[in-house]
Amino acid sequence: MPFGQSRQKAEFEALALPYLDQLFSAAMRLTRSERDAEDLVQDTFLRACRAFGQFQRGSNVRAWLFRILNNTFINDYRHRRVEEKIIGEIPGASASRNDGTADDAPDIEDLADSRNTPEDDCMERLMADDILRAIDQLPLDFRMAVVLADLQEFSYREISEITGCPVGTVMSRLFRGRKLLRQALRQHAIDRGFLTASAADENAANEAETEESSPVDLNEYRRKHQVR
Amino acid sequence: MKCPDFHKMLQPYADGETDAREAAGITSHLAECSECRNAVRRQREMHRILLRAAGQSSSLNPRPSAAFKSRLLKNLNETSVEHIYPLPIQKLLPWTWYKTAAAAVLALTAAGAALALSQSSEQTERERRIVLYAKDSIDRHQRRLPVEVSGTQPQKVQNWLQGKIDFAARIPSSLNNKASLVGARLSNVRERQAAYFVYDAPDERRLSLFAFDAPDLEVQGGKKVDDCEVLLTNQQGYNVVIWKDKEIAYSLVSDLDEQDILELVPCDGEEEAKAITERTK
Repeated sequence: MPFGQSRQKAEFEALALPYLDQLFSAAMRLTRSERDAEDLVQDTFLRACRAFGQFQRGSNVRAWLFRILNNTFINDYRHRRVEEKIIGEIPGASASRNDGTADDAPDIEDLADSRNTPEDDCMERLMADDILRAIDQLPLDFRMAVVLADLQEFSYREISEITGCPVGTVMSRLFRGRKLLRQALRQHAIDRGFLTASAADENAANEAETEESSPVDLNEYRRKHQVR
Repeated sequence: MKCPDFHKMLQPYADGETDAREAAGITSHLAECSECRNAVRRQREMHRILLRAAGQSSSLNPRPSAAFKSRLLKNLNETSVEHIYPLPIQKLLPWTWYKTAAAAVLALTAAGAALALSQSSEQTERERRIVLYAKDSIDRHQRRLPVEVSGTQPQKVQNWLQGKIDFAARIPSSLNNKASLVGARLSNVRERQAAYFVYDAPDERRLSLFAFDAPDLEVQGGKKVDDCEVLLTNQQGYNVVIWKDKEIAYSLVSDLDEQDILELVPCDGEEEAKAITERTK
């Protein structure tokens, strides 16, 4: 073993291994299979170890590891399973909007009450697995953005570095991903009887107001307001 | 500023991505606009719900198993931090271009070595790349990853590969009748997507054949024999043979000695291996 090799190796392990759980959790959301997640995380670590010589000491290890995870996934794993969802089509998200409004209401206390209840109270009651499943059904680019921002709490700048996309693209993927996710969760809440379809419709209508205008590039916004 | 102007800023605001001045402007708007306030609240609530869901372990969200962790540590132990630049030149030598026929091997060795010695810097770069492909193939081979599809029938493997790789790989059912197909998995060689075929020799020796699309890998310049140029390199105790067939690169890794591995190369311009070539898309 070349001189310095074992020291570098120890340094790598000390820096990288603490992120094993986080990387694995993200890998689960990306691959949706425990076996693939294990392979992906292992490939990520081995690749990171080999490339550790090029890693800038003192820079963001966590983002660096996630970038390797992202690249490895895109290169090796994405093709394993044909992405079954077409962008914007989450099964069940809009399917039963028009049916069963009044009929399935009886066991929901009273409509006025449901209306006053913030929708998120219903979402609170959703099972963790329902939520994870809804994330897993997002189209890949959106899922990646949501996983990195909401589950791993990376900043826009870091997500941009990890995915190699401009910040504006990150924002718009995040925006659309969250919107699709909300639709899917709302549908789950209806299916579970936590929310009536009509209350959901109203919520959706309220949201449409604020969400219609879609995201902007933060820089564009800043440029515009700098002038004033 | 009108309300719709704020709409665009609500997501970055809720994510804490606005600077202090922007945040102050939005905060004062939120005080008087329940619609925007609700939008921010909804996003923050959802974030909290997602975080909480991700924090609970379940079959959909398992923690890495102890078995996996120990496997990872073991594999990590066998991996080393690479120092790619500059590659010691001795490792590149001797470079030899072989014909698959055993008789030709001896005759060509001298010519190949001479060629290697007279390398220009361009050639060095080319060889460096070849070595990296070879080393990465060895790396995958060493890990003895399980096959994802098993079977001795190339057609079955071909069907499995359908739609998973975006190039046409040729899958011989055997390596010149000396080693038979066991199965395949998806892999990669140096960032390139690869189909990884596993063959077993009668002595239970495992051979790895990788097929990948690598336009930057040049096998030309050696001896052209039967429309097929073959490169052989020895790295880390393994022999790796690299060739191209219909523009797809192949690397075959084994600890067999040079002559034996060359006899396995299913590339000699003849259709003797019942090869299946089909464009998978």
